[in-house]
Amino acid sequence: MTDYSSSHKRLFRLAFVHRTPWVLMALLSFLSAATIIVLMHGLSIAIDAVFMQQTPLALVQPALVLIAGAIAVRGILFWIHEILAQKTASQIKARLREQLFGKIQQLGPAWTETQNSGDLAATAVEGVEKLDTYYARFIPAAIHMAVVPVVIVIAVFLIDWLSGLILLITGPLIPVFMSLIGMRARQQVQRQWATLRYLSSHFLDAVQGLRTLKLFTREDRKHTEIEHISNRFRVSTMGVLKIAFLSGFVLELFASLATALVAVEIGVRLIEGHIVFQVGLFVLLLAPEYYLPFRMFGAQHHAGMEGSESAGRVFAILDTNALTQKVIFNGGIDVQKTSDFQQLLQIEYSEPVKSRDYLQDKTAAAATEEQAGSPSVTVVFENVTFTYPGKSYPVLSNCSFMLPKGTKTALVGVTGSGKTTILRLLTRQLAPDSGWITLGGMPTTKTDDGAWLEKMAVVNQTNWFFDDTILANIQAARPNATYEEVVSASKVSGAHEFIQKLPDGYLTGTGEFAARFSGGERQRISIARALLKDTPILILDEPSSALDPESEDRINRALDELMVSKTVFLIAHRLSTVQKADNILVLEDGRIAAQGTHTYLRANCKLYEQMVSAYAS
Amino acid sequence: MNIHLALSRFLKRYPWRITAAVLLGAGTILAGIGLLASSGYLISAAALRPPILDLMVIIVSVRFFGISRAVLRYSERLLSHDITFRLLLQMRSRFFRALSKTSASRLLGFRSGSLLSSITSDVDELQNYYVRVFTPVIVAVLVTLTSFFFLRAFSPAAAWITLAFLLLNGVAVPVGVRRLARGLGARQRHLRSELSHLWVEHSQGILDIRLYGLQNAYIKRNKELCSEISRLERRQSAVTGLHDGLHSWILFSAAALALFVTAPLVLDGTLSGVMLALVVLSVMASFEATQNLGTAFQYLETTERAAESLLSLTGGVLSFEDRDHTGRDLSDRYKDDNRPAKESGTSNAQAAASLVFDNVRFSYCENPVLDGIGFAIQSREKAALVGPSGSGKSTVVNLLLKFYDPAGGFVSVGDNKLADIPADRVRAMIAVVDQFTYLFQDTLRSNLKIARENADDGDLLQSLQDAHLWSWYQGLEKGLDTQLGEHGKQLSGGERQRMAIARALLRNSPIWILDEPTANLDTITEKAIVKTIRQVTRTRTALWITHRLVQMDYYDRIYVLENGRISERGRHHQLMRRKGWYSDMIRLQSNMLQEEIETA
Repeated sequence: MTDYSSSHKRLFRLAFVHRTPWVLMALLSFLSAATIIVLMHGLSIAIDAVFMQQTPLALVQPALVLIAGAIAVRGILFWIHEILAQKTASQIKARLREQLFGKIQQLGPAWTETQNSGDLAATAVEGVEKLDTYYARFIPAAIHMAVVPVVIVIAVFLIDWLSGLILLITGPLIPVFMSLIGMRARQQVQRQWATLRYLSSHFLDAVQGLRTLKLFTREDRKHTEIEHISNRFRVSTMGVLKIAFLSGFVLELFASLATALVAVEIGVRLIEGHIVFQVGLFVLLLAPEYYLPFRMFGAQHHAGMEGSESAGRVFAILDTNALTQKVIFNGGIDVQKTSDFQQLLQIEYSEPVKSRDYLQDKTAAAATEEQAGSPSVTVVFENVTFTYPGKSYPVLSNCSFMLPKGTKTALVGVTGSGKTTILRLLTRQLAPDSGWITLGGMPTTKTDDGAWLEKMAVVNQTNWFFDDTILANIQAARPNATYEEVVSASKVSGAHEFIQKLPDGYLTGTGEFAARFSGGERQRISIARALLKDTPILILDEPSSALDPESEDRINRALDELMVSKTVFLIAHRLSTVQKADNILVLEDGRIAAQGTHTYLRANCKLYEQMVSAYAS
Repeated sequence: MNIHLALSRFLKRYPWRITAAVLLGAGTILAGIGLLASSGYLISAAALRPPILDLMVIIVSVRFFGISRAVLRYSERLLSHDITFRLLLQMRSRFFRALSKTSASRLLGFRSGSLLSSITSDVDELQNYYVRVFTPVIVAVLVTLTSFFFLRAFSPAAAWITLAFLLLNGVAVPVGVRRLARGLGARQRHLRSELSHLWVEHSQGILDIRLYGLQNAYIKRNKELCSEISRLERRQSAVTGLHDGLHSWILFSAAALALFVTAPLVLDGTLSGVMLALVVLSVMASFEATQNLGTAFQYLETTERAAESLLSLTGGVLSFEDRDHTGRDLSDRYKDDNRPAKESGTSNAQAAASLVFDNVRFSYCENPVLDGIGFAIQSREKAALVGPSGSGKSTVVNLLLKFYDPAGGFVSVGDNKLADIPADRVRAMIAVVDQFTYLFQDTLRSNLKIARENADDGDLLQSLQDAHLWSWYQGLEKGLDTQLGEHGKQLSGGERQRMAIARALLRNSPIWILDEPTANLDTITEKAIVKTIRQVTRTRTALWITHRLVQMDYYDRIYVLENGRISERGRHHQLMRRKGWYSDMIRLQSNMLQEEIETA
């Protein structure tokens, strides 16, 4: 309920960023009230002339002109009003969609991964679309209700104060009673709508799980369950609606009873001669018009509710804090300073001197070479801590390591040890809570995403296919690559073999085929992209599931080509390729528990030995 | 047309409710006409200053119409909501049944994308047919006719004018406006689906989009689509605004014209002047009848579209009829022997838990997937079906489960040919653990009970223990009542597979099919899961489908499936002696391990 009214408020604020259209709409409402008064005035004069004075209509020409003019103008006003309302709504929707889009880019992959992309699209397309009725109908109806009855009641007051009084008293009572009843029912109604949505998703759930249901021959049971739940829902909802609809009932009752009251009151005064027929008829004609805006608003009430509900989801996304937006840089480190590196290397357990020397040599070499502007790059993680929002313990705590330039480093660890988080931090999907990540001495905070990411390529099995040709998909890695370059990259990666078997070769649209690509095929395309991008840093996100040995062998050969003279970071999920690495990092409980060569670790690290034997078994 | 027939079949189930709702709806509008007409008459009569007692009847009827309008409206709303919920139930139920009869290949096709959710929202869309299309049209017809005959008693000319203008307002204008806006609507829908597509692509591909620096291209595309949609919406509003304007023009023109043609009747004494206001006011009030027809046309289109896509999707199975083909006849035929089979099920089936494929051929389209394969697995044996991806391994599983019927040859389970027994019975004998474990948005208990309805909590806990889910289970605050959430998202891959094992254990089937059960799992989890499965299938027949050749000497029989044929068969050491795909793969796979052992 608080959600409901708070998003209502926000929707209002959003609407009134630009006031002009709403002022114009109020003006249009005012004019339409004026035309109805003129129109009814004309009608009452004409009827009075014929009925009371037995005069032919031809003799009351001014009244006829008023009628014709008012009818024409009123229609045009409605037309303009609709165009204006829609234009305003369209603008707001477009603005919201653009904001959402930007927000999602800002939130990045770490966030979208936790979301259902179909849901996101639904929020942006259908969800925002629901706001259309909110802005094009609900708010204009509210404005209409605020303007028209006021104008009419003033007019009636001027010609017949007693009838004016009736309208004045009954009018405001409608919203009062409606909200009195509405408040009691609203919460219940919302709960029922929530149940309705639950039913819808329950049904979807059943349909999606149909294969499982069939395996267990439970489809009939589920069928009965769906019927049973739906029926129970109907019964409980009807109970709620009986009360909820009372507010509509009150509205109708007031509007029609008040009209009846006005008619009877005028009738009685006519008999007594206290009022003339024309005035009485004029007021009677205006009475329903007075209540009409209330009824129209009542009819849009549901649109208002739906709008503010789907707005809730939209605003929730807009309000999500981006994990990349954390303020992290409280002071820099100078990567070139040897003491920092010393510190970095001492953090972990005591490694055999040989290995440390090796690393240190590399580091020193890297640091000097980078100053000389060499294309290869050293990556350093220092004291990196990261906690996912809502989690009480950090995934990474004071995690430090380095990827010396031109070497191959593998990262191993059990599921959930933080490998993926490291990948995300390195590709700037997340920003560390504390600590520093540097590329060739440049910290994350001093470069923008673009400059950072263009130094690295990621090879994985979950690479995304844009809805375009295969050619364009591989070219995405380097837009100015020629067709020949794409083909030769694909040949090296082994993608060429299956691409040329596709109906239109490289010009085959991915829309139809991407879903059918196997993990191995995806990976080969990913390798082709990486070859084309030719970056100093290469991240291999090893697939967690095994390919068949044939594909795996072919991919390993392609990777060997790719890794030449690059800083390679292998996120190993299955340990199948780790022995090629110059250095292996063992990640445990959010920190590097051990590092060294394969041989060294097998002898000295129990966890590593366990993992290797699990794979080898 | 077909679609309307299908839709109205749903309505036929509630003839009385629907008649009542329609009458209440028409009554509401007629009460509105009555209110204005009697008020007009009241003040006209009063203007002639008769004794007040003469007007008591009309005063009472003014009040009566005033109250009855509100009461009628309230009851109509309640009743039509009740009907809508009933219809929704019917549609869901019928649709679910239709879908559960569609073939497995279709179901597998549905897995991808948002197709399924679009199906369910189509079903939701159908409910509008009754409230927004069917009722308003019938009510409009009833009210139009009533007001025509009512007005004719006073002023025939005004009655004809009203009829003509009501038709104009209720039929000509909505049809004309729809026609003007038709192209616009279709293009908007197209653009919206393109926008939706862009959003899905953007959020799923955002990692690659960032890596290749394509963010701005996407922002631009989104902006273009949004402004194009806005532009179309504005153009459409020019048309729909015309609709609003026309409604006002037509209504008041009709009233003015009615006045114009009725005035002479009053002047020449044919009609009492008291009736003049009544006629004009009734004409205005009767236009409420056609107010909702504009949206009716709109909803007619959307419901038609929804029904059409549902019909085509279920391949016409959604013929909204109870009767259907294959499955049901078969289960009827076997109803008698179904029961005893279930009771003596376990012991009986355990004895005959063998699997036979005899010269089985099968193809999805033209190219044969299985080109005459044959093998036999005895009770309690452990067999492996291996081979390169795409060789037809999954098809074997689908045939075994009777999701498909073979094009040639036969499959038998126990002593029964599959063609002779209903799918229910086949599936009761076979438990499947594959990579598609589906967890329902329901409690842990219900998710387990799917496998065995009458299982008590003790059985469930036992199965969790045997599936090595015990420590996970003990971490759950609400125990068996824990909600597993959307598609069981909060379970890890390993836990999901253990859930599948727990289900299979509850099922207590003599035959287990393990179709790549550890794909998508990391090595350590994989090892643990395999160990658990081997433990629990010790006394059962097990057919493993795998492309990873690990610990192959465990199997009693290994079949290599290549290009739809069994190319090699035997035990591990036998196959290793042959120079075939199998030994090649084993060698390839162990290359790395051997290197490793050497270095170690």
